[in-house]
Amino acid sequence: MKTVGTFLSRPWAVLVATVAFGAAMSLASGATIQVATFFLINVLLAHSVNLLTGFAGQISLGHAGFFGVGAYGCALLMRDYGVPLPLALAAAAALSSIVGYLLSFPAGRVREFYLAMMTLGFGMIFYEIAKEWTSATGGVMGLSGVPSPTLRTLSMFGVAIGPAAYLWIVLAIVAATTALLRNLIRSHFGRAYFAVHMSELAAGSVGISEAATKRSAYTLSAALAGLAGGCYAPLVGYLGPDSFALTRSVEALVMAIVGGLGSLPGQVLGAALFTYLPERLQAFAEYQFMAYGAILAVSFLVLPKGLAGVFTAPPRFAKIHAAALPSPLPVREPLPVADSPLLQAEKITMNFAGLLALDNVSLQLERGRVLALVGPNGSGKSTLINVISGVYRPTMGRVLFKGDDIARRKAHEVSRRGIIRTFQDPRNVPHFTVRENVLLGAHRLYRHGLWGAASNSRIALREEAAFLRQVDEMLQLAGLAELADWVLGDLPYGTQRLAEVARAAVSDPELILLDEPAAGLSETELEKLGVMIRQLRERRLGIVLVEHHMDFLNDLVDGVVVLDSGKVIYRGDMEGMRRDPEVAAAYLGIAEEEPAHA
Amino acid sequence: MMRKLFAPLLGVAAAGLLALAGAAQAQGTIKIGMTSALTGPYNEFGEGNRRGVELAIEKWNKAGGINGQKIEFAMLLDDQLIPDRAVQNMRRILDNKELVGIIGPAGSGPTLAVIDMAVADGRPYINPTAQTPSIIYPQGTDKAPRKNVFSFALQNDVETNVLGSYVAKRFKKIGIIHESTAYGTTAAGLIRKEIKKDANLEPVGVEGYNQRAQDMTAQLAKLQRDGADVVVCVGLGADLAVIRRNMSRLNFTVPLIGTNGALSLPYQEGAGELVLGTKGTMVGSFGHETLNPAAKEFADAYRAKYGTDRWWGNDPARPQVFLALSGANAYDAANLLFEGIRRAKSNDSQKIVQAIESIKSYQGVNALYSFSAQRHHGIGEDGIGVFEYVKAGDKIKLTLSKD
Repeated sequence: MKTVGTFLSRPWAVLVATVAFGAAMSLASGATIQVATFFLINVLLAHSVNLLTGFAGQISLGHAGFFGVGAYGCALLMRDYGVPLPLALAAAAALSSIVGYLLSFPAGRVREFYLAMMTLGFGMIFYEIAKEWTSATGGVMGLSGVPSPTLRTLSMFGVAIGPAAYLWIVLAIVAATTALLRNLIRSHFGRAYFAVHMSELAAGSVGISEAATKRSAYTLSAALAGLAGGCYAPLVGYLGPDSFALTRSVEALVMAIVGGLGSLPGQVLGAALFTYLPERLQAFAEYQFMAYGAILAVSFLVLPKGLAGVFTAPPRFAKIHAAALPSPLPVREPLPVADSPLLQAEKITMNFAGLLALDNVSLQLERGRVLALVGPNGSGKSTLINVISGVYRPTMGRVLFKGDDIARRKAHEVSRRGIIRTFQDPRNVPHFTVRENVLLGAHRLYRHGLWGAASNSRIALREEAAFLRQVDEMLQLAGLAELADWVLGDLPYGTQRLAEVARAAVSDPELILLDEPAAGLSETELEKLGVMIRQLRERRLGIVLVEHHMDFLNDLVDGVVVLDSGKVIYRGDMEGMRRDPEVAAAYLGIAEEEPAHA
Repeated sequence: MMRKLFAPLLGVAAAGLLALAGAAQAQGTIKIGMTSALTGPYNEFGEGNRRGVELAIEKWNKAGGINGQKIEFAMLLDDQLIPDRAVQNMRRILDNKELVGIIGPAGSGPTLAVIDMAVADGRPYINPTAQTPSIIYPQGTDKAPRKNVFSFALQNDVETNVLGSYVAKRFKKIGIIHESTAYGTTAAGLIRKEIKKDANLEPVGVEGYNQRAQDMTAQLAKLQRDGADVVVCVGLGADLAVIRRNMSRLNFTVPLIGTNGALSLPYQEGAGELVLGTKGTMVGSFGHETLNPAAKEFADAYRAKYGTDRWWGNDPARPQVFLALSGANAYDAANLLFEGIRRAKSNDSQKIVQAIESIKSYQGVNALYSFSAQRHHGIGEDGIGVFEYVKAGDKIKLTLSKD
């Protein structure tokens, strides 16, 4: 099955299959053509839900609203203003995307169940408006007289459009949309959706703005649903509010889930199943709701990844084919020799509701130096990393990076300035490959825009190629080259750690914060980590290293700061630390018995 | 495992498509097709309609069919009152060129979605249930009807006219409360026009409410302050129950008269004992002491075939009033369609339409039917009665209002 799916995922095979589908349908009866057009519209709707829910991880129970905005918009423009079909469809998508953009602001403030409830509310509001705004939507009586191919009242530029021609138009729209989506998902935009979906913290750490990413997902998803609605209006020729009630939203979500969230071919399969299934289920007469329910319930047990999990290979999120393109590696300007310190933390105090996690902590770091941050568990090391990287806002104090105070900036803003961190618990996108995860690090360096990414423009492909090669180099250095195309979630803990450090290195930072990178690594992995850190130091980066592993630190660091209960108790070199009685009492004495922990 | 599961599924789908393509059918019968809400939350109407049509077919076939040809219920599709499904079903029905007559969905939404397709096709189309007047008369009830569409539903305007003239004769200070939907607002306007015409009265107050609202005290208190001596309500039974309970709490004791929602089960369930004295308009066929011959024939045939089930109601002796709109309407619809085909002596659409238009004073269950080129709806004001909840022993029953 999967080989068939893989074969069918080749672009030319898809093109042939699409044209064959269109040709076969044009020869079929009127009812078959009509159902096929409904199917294509459902594909668009499923794509829309998949983009928002499957990729960006934002659940929506209000997609009927976006669908309806597009449908009514297109219908009114065509019927009352004589706007030609292509313009009306574009307007439908645009109108709906505006609504999606606006909805993204309140939606960005809530999560999970609350988000589900909120989108549900949006759907209900739209339904009420469609019912009550009689002068525009026709109210409960609906909107008749939309130019329709079934009634032979639709024409475009003077040519009458019949049901078969209309099918071809919608087919072309669906094929083009699917191709654009496929490219988009394999670009840094698609990777950003997934990163926000899997871990907002990790996304922020590589410079992905959670809010902006969600906004773009809402806007694009709404545009797709609006386009679907725009195609729907002429097909039926009549719009009534009942077509945009909650059931439509639920159906769209079910199609996307059963088809396989995160998979584009899965959406085609899901739409096909749920377009044709109800018709076939009529054979079950009064038991058809039960049969429908049983299919739903069972499908999640036997098909956890949806239909796509059975028929197609898992989707990929990088344009690997682009890697061969000639493109110069971006020239890395040698970082200037500093006259002022790279990082200065001044009198940082962090107070969590009375618990003093950091008490008046200051530290300073120059370019090309490695500073170790040590101390017992709970001494405030990770808290300090979180303050510098913008995850926490300090209660008091300043964080100066190249002279600018960044203490109250958001995490993604901090990382865009060139401060990249890793986490004590590696945070990756588990179903990305090693290569895709490391490539995620380059997010903040990409310059090409949404359209370039979706259309695979020359510039976009060359940029992708340059970063892919950089990733390859880094994987070589990390000893992960052979695992590059393995799915990271299936690999051992040590590999995940190294991949995270490689991801941070690829993002070309000026300051890198590594939170216990050596924990749980084997001897060979430790060696690779050491090589990577030395290379970063040679590139004159500033490096802060939180670590318990003293042997690892010994020949690597230029200075040490020891924390205990949020206070700095030692500052100096490694040798001095070993002799310091206070450090020994607080920490070193017990460190030998303590196992390395995660 | 998954392959095993999916192979049959795809097989079913493929077989279905094949069956659709090569639908070979018996020759020499008169075939009709229908889409309705056979399952789902509205199958009360859809399933009732199917039974009505089947009883009519059995009746005609027992008598030898139409001009010697048997009638065949060739296509029966389920739309669950979902507009998209109805559109797909109607396309399949219209694609089948062997069908002579078509019976449409059991509600206004799906009917409005398919009606233009049916008109473009031109074959006789029968609307058994949908109440919206614009289904038949898109330019207004005083203008020409859609040429091939005939209705056997209780049209909204017919119902409100009866209601309006009933209250105009009996009350001086009329208060109107209606749901804020196109149906409710239009109906309130029509009632207002009717009482102006009949008694030169203006209502003392007109109030709107949202469907499924849980409290209408504010609107009712206003009508009470305005001194209304009757409350006329246009809305669903469940909402009417809220209104009745609120009136009781306000000690607002004037009569309550509603549209057919007042006779529905949700009203009786929601208002309980308070229903006593409430009046409502409805097709009168099953409310008369002695049923008309067509109604009796239908009732006997129904009981013989389906027994005294939930469509029939609680009283084994006679069907409930509501069966008029959840069964008898489709029975009449099919009978009149067959009568048209019989008179046309042809399967030609235009001839059948003209033949139906030529039918005058045909006794059906719900009305004495007369059609013309201008009149395509069957149930007129004379077919409507005003019913009242009265106490009979320790039970509450509905009877035709005597006054």
